[in-house]
Amino acid sequence: MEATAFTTAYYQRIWKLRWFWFSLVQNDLDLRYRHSVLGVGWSLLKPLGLTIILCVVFGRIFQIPIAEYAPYVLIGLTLWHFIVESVALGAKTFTTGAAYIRQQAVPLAIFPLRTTLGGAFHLGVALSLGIVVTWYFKGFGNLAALPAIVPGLLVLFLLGWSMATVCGLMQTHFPDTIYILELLLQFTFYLTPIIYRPGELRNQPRLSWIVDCNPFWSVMELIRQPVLYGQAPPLYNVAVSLGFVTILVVLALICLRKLERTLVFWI
Amino acid sequence: MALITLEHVDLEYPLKGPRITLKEHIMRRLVRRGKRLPDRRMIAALRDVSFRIGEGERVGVIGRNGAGKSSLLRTLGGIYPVARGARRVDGTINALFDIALGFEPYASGWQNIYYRSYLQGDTPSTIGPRLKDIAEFCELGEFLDLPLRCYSQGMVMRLAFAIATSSAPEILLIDEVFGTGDLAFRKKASDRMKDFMNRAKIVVMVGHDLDFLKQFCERLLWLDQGRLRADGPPDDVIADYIREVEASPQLSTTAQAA
Repeated sequence: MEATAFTTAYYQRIWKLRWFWFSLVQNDLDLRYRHSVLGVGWSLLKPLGLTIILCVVFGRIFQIPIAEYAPYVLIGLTLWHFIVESVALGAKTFTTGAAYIRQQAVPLAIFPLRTTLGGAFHLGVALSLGIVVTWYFKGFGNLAALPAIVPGLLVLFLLGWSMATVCGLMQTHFPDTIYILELLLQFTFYLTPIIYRPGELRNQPRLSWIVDCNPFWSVMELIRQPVLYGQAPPLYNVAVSLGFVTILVVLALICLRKLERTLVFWI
Repeated sequence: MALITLEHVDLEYPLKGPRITLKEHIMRRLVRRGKRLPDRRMIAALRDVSFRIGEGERVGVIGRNGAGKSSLLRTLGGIYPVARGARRVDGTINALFDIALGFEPYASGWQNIYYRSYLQGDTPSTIGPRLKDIAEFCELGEFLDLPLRCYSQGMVMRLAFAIATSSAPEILLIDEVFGTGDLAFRKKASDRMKDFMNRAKIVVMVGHDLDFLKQFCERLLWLDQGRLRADGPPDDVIADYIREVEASPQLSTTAQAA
């Protein structure tokens, strides 16, 4: 009986190899933060800088007070960055791990796990900063609701892992996948309320479906609602997120089962 | 009991060439909806290979370049999936396919030792003695603190060799004989290799060095265009092999070079 992504033996093997992929994640993080004096701080400069610029420009255009807009944008950018990273690093994940795949039969799911865990660590750091910024501008009103982000983060993590898996597998078969995905991500970025708020599209009755049908918006609301407004995410967002993530995870598992054995020929 | 059996095994590769892009793939689907795309061309690397290797056997694999020797080893190692037939391997496997494969260039020598050991199933509590053994054997000293991209090729080889031979697998799969570092190290490496091979319950080794294989193995497999041409005592198989290679003049020069 062969261990496929739908058997428990598969997950036992992943667990058995935990020291291996976990140390690779550590290595990735080391490399990412090392070559700069500021270390982790450096990587936070990008979302912070963007937030400041956006506040100056769009805050004026949309006429939103900075205390409202700055935490909103910062957290939105942070969450979006995790999604982008899952796709972009995920697309390369099997090529990066090719040497190991050619050397030993290992469950392929550990490679997207490696990239997503790296992204998740970074998300954790950046999100903490976002929460601090929210406290600074809006006070500690969200404290009671903060535990509600935990399931949201779990959903986001599964989303990242399944996207990394699917994109990585596609990339090994079609070398232009990454360019197409980058294009799609850019489109999605503008279609998702990140630098503008959903309300601004809702004012246009013909456009409000863009927000409602966008699963990325729903997933982001799982975290934005508790952090920014101190309330549990609306049921609609929870339902859409869960549905979306379930579909993606199942898709990733099916792809893994179908391609796991022959992937070694493609890298 | 360590055991390897292959029954009527076929191995096929998809032909690697200019790959079809995703854009093209989608366009074709849209334009010629309903029509199936032609199947990808496959190359047969192994055809109808059957054998059984029991505990205690030392088996060599010979054949010309491209005969499927390395593919056979990777199939035994569970890395390549068989297209048809059955593969059964009982026992822990350690494979020395490509010795310098699987290093993180930006991580230090020490870190790379950790990754490779963890990959072979070590945990932080079992890794201690192994670290010491590897560090002692490769003699890299303080270089182990440097990232691997600063190493010379010989140093990488030493490290890789030390790591690969530091575990005690039941089944050992070795591709070619390694040129490992300078002369002094080569002597040391070959001693360690012999010791390593003696500890394993089954050794399958691909090589071109017929004298070494004759000395070390009690059984040889001869692969020719993916098929098992002969399976028997080294003297007989080598005699047949040499006769065949000499009979085809255009190939005899390459065989001598190898």
